[in-house]
Amino acid sequence: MSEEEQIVSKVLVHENDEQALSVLKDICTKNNLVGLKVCSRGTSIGLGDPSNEIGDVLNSNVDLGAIFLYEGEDLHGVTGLELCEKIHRSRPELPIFLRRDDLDSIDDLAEAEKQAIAGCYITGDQDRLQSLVEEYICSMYYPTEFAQGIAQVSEEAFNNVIPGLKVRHDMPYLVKDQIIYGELFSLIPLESAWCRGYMMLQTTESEVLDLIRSGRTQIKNERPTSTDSNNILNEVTNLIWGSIKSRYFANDHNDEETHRTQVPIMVNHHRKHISFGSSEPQLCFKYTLSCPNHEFPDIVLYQRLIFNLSWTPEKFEESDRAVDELINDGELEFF
Amino acid sequence: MAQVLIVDDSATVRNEVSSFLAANDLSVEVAVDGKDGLDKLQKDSQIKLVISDVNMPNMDGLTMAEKVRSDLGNHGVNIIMLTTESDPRMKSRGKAAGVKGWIVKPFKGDNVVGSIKKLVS
Repeated sequence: MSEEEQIVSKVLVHENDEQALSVLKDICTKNNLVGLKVCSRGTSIGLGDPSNEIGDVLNSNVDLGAIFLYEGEDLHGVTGLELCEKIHRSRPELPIFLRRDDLDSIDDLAEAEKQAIAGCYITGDQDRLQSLVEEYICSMYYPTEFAQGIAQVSEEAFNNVIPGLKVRHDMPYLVKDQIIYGELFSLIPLESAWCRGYMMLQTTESEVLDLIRSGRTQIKNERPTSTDSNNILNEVTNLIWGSIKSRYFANDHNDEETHRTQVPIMVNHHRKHISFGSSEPQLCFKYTLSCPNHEFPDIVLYQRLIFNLSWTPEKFEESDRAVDELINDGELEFF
Repeated sequence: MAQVLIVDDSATVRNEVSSFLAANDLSVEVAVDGKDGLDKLQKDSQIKLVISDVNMPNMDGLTMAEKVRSDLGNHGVNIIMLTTESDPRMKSRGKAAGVKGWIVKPFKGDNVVGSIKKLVS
């Protein structure tokens, strides 16, 4: 497996202790975590108002798996505990890990502080840190073959709907946040004997409208509307969904469709949050669609797979047998 | 008066298939779902071929195919499905409803234009 195909997770680090940073770096390397330090204008960690800077990161489009903080004061006299509460209020889905000076517990903290903290560790306690990472960030196993396949079928779908595009994707990663990117998202159920959940595609409307104006899609409209951008995302979603079904769900022989559980999906428009009722990490891909002739600006799409209802990856299998039986896409199979 | 009816809830697919067929000298009508497809079929007796998606709102393509035979009693029109679905159970249902063929999306017109012309003639 190449480096590009590994599943990673991004974590936000607000630390100013060299030893602690060194331990975190080791943990990040061991667990495929990408550590993002809160920086300001080329200087080191925590300059400026740290709560504002962390807020900027949280409000940006960075998908996060967790946050690492130190309980004491940073270079600006703001304590980690103060930050914990602020962050937890705005992003309650993100686990916060607190480095403490002496105590390997949060029993002494106020109730509001306890609620904000997922776990704590003392400086240098790599084992404790590792167990927190395993419990909160790497708690859901996604087969790498599955992640590779999703990226492949998705890129094919983008190219089918918008021929001639250059499509690239970042490393697949795990996220725990619930941020909605852009104004446009599609949601389609993924249902099989071994997984149940949703696929969500998110993008910005203006980018898709620019694409349509370029004449590269089947929607021929120089003044496209939101209906047109919806149509493009709808078709891409449909093609990816069909490919996932053919590739991963074709061996299912479970016709039992009844008595299946469902949970409400909650959307907070004000905060641009969407919750599927599960705190398990979601598998996320970021795609960038570029036109070789620069006829339209790059389009960024985020794809999330949220298996909030059922996930048994040990039963995962690619539908080789079923795929062998299929004729090629686009060919007419006569009955 | 059209020779081919394209039934798909996706405007992208409707545009793609209809412009391709029109460029190949076929007259085309479009419908946005199975219910709309049935209406259009009832109103235009010249339609020889229906190219339909499966998963659509209001009425899916397989139900539409079944109703073409049972409710409209139209056994003359050919129906082929153009869909992302490749589930053998769905294909069996289509076959039972008299569907003539199955194309897995994406639509690649050059691969199927000859067959489509035969079905229309």
